[in-house]
Amino acid sequence: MGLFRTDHATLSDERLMEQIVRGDERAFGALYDRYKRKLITYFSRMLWNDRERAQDFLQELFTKIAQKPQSYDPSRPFSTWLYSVANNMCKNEYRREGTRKAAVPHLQAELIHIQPNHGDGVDKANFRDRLDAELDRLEPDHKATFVMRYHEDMAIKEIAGVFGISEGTVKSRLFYTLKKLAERLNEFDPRTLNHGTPRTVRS
Amino acid sequence: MERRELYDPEDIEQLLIERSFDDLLEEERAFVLRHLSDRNEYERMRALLLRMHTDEEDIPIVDAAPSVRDRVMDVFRAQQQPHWRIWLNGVSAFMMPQDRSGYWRPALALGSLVLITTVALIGIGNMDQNEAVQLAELKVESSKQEMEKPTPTTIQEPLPIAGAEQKIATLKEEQASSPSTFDTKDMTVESESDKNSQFETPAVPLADVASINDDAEDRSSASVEEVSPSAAFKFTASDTVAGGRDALAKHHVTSNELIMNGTTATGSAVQAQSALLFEIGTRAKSDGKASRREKKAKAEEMADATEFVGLLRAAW
Repeated sequence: MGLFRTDHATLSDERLMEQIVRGDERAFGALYDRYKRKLITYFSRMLWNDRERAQDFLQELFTKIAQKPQSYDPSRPFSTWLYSVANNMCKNEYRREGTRKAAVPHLQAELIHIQPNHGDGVDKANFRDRLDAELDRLEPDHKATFVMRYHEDMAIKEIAGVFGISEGTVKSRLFYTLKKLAERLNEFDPRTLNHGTPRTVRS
Repeated sequence: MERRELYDPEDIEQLLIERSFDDLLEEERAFVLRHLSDRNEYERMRALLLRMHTDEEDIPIVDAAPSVRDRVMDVFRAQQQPHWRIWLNGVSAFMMPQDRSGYWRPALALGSLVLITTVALIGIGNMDQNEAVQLAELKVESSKQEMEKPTPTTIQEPLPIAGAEQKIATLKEEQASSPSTFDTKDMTVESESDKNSQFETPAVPLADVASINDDAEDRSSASVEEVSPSAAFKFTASDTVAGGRDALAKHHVTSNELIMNGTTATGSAVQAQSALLFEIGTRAKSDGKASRREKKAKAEEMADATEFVGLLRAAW
């Protein structure tokens, strides 16, 4: 039965895109299933942990692929192309709601009161919220680079392909972003927590 | 000499993940301290990286709602539908708009279509008719040309016989009512139609008949083909009078003789007409003879040619 049936799960992204261009519905479904979690996590991180909006963006992105699969450049890796499209969508969203969304992280950061010793789960949640807030304060490209590298586990080369920059630039960008975040999240340093006192963070 | 840089600042990430500051080699430690302020900064960055790694593992997996997949797949299916269906949908939407005020568009479109079709059909029909008329005209013109060809044997001139007969009738009546003698000087025999016709019959007084007859005798020797129709008429008329030249000189003309002269004149008109026919006929005969001669010459030439061809064949 499965002699002539293609197993889309084993096909590469680029091969799936070829079949999508020819109108293969199953290939499109397989590609969606392959990237839906990564992309919704990425959109969620990039869009202030707004899951509804992340779902809308995921739908919009795959709608674009369904309507114009020819817009994909086969010379580029599909994942690189896909994240570049997703990053541009996020940048446009930043522009649309720049002022309002820029104010939200400040408000959220001002209201966060770190209570590190009230339990491990609470500490982890606090750390995530704090980290997200600090990420929102970064430049969009720096934030996207950081999220791709440390949340999406993308290789330096892939990130460089998404932004169209050199790998050295990506590494340098990551280094300075990490250094900045480490300064801002100093209160979560285990040595500080062990030797210092809990304090309210005001960014 | 400046010492070559073994590590780029961006490569600190690998050191941060793998080793603590205390575990770094001297060279690595020197490199780290060129880019970071102190040991604490290095340790803070390392702690943040490690925490992010451990927290990522604890973060629950976020999944998209199944409805998102359904909508995306619907979009893909709709995109793959044949375009003619979309075209048909557009036609139906155009022909049957939801708003009644929009019905003028399909009505205008259909009306224009019907008008154009009608005009086209009428135009095609007219073109066919014009072609038929042209053919008929061509036929008519060719038949006209055939009709206009000269026919040398036809004569359209009316013959002056009727007027002469009327004259004879009036003379007979006058003879019945008048005295038996006539002043022959005033008597002329003349037909009405002769005035208009090209074969004009000269009014000949009976007194001059003798001189006329003299002329007639001279002309009688001329061939018929050389004289003109009027001359021929004169010849025939004088010829009738010639026989009684001596008698005329001795006695008065009686009414019977006058009648005889009238009939002679009438007969001369008929003779003139017959002379004309004779002349046309002789001309046609001469034309026919000429054409026959030409044909004969051509045939001879052809014969020469066939002889020539025969010679050529024999030589071959």
